[in-house]
Order: sequence, then structure tokens, then C-alpha cells
Amino acid sequence: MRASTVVPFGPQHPVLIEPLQLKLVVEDEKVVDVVPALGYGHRGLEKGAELNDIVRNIFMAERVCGICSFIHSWCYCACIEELLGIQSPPRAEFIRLISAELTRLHSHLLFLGLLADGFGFESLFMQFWRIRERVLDLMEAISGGRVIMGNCAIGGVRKDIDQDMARAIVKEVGEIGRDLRPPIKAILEDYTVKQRTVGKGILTKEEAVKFGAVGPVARASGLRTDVRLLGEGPYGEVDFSVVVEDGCDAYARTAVHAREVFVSLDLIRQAVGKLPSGEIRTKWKGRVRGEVIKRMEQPRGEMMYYVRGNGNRTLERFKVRTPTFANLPPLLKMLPGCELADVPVIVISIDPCIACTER
Amino acid sequence: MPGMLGQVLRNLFSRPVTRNYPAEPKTPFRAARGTLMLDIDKCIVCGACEKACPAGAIEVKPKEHLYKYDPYSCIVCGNCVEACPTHCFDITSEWRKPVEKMETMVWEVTRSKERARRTS
Ligand code: SF4
Ligand code: SF4
Repeated sequence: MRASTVVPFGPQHPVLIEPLQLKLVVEDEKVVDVVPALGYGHRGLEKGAELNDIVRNIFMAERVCGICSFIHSWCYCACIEELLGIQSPPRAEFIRLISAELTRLHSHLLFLGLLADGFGFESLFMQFWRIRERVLDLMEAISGGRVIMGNCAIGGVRKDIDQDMARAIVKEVGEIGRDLRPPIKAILEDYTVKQRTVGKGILTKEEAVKFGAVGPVARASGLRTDVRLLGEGPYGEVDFSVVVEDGCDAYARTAVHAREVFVSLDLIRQAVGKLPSGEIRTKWKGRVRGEVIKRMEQPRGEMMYYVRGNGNRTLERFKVRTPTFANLPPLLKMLPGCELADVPVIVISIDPCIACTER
Repeated sequence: MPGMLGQVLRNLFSRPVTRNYPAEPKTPFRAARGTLMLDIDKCIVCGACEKACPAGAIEVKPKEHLYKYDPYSCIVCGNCVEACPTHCFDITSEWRKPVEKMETMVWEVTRSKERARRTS
């Protein structure tokens, strides 16, 4: 029998931007088993949200994740709107869609950059992040916040998009799309990138279903799953196709992210074109009573919110299931059997977000 | 790597995308939430901003005639701007400058009724 060694991967590791620990049981250079250790980033957000009033919770929800922040506040506001029985105006819904897709765009560019950085392709990492900076500028120009937009409010949004801004968004989105082609071509076609990603971290379609993969991880294993497809809210009024790949490996996951970037750009363009006129905020009053579950598609996959109120100033229960939480079991399935040197790339390929997983 | 060659050459002969900070500071966007400004003279010491603040940056003590604002806890969310009945707050797009010492701002305030009584 070969001797096995336990190698701790993380919580601090050059490729990890967040504290995740994986105890890798290795035999020679081969990983045979993985034991995750979570809890380094727990902030007690769910409990905190039960102590705050419902308006202050928007800001709390937005900070569940530092990357897909806007969609968290949107989902929270949608839950409260449903409990209050109000509807946000169509213009607000479209502004929410634009903000959400910008969030997805910058999150995917972050992922592509980090993946390139994960296998030492620093130059490509810089190319992606340079373009990502322009997306962040766009977010700041729209809402006032570079990453945490703080734009969502119960019953609508707080900042409107005027004519000039709409034109600027369309122009910038076009340019970003054009400038993204060379780095995306590089990450999809480069020999070095393929050497490091093709055939690494296999998750078959059956395993993806069995382990409950969501988002790009599931779509890269051939599953056509996307909460946006349900057509809730403004997503019912725009055309888009879901990117699905059959490779089941780290390369397929990269390709899903890379192609979704263009879907998001197109969605923003469509939404700006269809922006209805009118109010951006519905007035509301009262307290929340009852319970509601909502799902939304984050850049990393499906997210679920559960909110229960009992007529008090605060909520009775607030629960968030974030996409990385669902994608960790598939990750533990991908790792055994791989080489130790491939672990960073495979871990990054699921686009892990540990802070929001632990909340 | 060869796929990146064109881009690399373009980068080599183009201007840097970074700014020569601090000699060339960034012009803030109009909508940017930079600094929260407070016009304390308009304040009626109602405490609505304290209730609205998610970061606990504001403390209103009507009995002690004190109004405290900690700009370093403030996340410039703008919730107090919406909550204040007398529009005391404004958010400017300029970011706060770095400081050597973090200090809570304290003002002496009086409730409008008392103020009216005092002046009459
Ligand atoms: S801007 Fe937000 S964090 Fe700052 S004082 Fe106002 S409510 Fe509090
Ligand atoms: S909400 Fe406005 S008026 Fe009321 S205490 Fe705060 S600053 Fe003063």
C-alpha cells in the first residue's frame, strides 16, 4: 500500500482570494481524497438580518457577496415586495436587469482573469481586468457605487438612467464587446490554456444532477439550467440564449463563462433599448407578514432567498442559499484522481465565492 | 501564447491605462457616492437618520443635546438622506481625503421646540 499524505490547500493560498481550506489526501502527486474545512469567513449575516429592520437589510443583503452584490439586494427587495403585495415599476425592473447583467459581466471577467492567473498567465489576467475596470466604471456612473451599487430599494431603484447615460451605456458596451474578443479568443484557443484545462476536473452530466451543481458548473456539464429562463420580471421581455457546453471539464466551464459575457452584453443592449418610461419607485408602507422563497440567477448559479416576517419591525427568519454552497459537493467530486498541480485550476474553475457561502 | 502576440504588441506601443495618481486624480462620476455632508443647522433632532443608518454611524442624543456622526463607519449608502424630513444631508461625488486620525464628529444640537422657546 502506498503511503498517503495530507496536504492542506488554503485557507491562505496564492490562487485563492478567499479562505477555503481543502485537506487533500495525496498519494505521490495524485489526489485521492478531499476533506473541506469551512467557516473561516462566517459573519453571522442571517442572524444580523433578523435584528435589523427591513430597509436596513437591503444593505446587509447586498453585502452577502462582494461580487454578485446587486442581485442579492434585488432578490431581497423582490421578496419584500411580494410580502408587501407591491410591484416595482417596469422601468425600475429594467434598470435592475441592466445592473444585474453588469454585475454578471464584471464577475465573469473577474473569473476569467483569476483563472488565467491561476495557471500563471499573468498577462491575460491583466487584459481581462483592464476591461473589467471599464465595467466597474459603468456601474459607478449608473449607481454611484463601483461594486456595491446600493441602487436597489424596496419598490424600485434609487437612481434613474437618463438619455445621455443610456447612450453612453450602449456605446461602452459595444466597445467592451469589441475589446474583449482578443483575450477571450486567447483563453479559448491558446495551447497553454488548453493544456491546463482540457480534461481537468471532470463532472459528468449525471454527477452534476446528482450533486446538485448550479450555474456555469452545471451548464458546462450539458445541463440547460438557468433561473433567468423562467422569464420572471424583465427577463421575460428580452431574448437570450443559455450557453451550454458538453465538455464537463475546466475548459468547458471557462468556455461557458467566456460566452456568457457576450450574452450579458447583448442583454444590457436590449434592456437599454427597451427601457420603458415612467416611475422608478413605488411607494409602500407597512410591515411584512408571511413567508416567501425566491430564486435568482447569480453569475455563479442559482441562489435562493427565504424571508419570513411576522408583522414586526424586523424579520423573523432570513435565509440565503448561495450558488457556491451548491457547487462545493460537485467540486469534491471533481478533485479525487487529479494531479496536485491541477487543484488550483479546478478549484477556480467552479468560480468559488466563499464569503457568500459562509455568510 | 502566440494568440496574445498582437495584443501584447499593441500594449507595448500604446499609452498606459493607469493614471499618474496622485498628480492626476480621477474625475469622479456625477452619481458617485463619495462623502456624506450634513447641514446641522437644519436638523430638528428627530432621530430618523439614526434609525435608518445600517452602519450605526449616527447617534442622536436629544437629551444630552448631542449629535454624533462617525464618517469612518459610514458606508455612504444614502439611506439617511432619504429618511431625513428636513433634508439635512447631501452626498457629494468627491471621495473623502485620507486622514491621520479618525475622529467622530460631534455637534451640539437643540430640538426645534426648545430652540424656539429659547429664542423667544
Ligand atoms: S450614508 Fe448610510 S451609513 Fe452613512 S450615515 Fe447615512 S445611513 Fe449611515
Ligand atoms: S433625520 Fe435629519 S432632522 Fe432628524 S435627526 Fe437626523 S439629521 Fe436631524
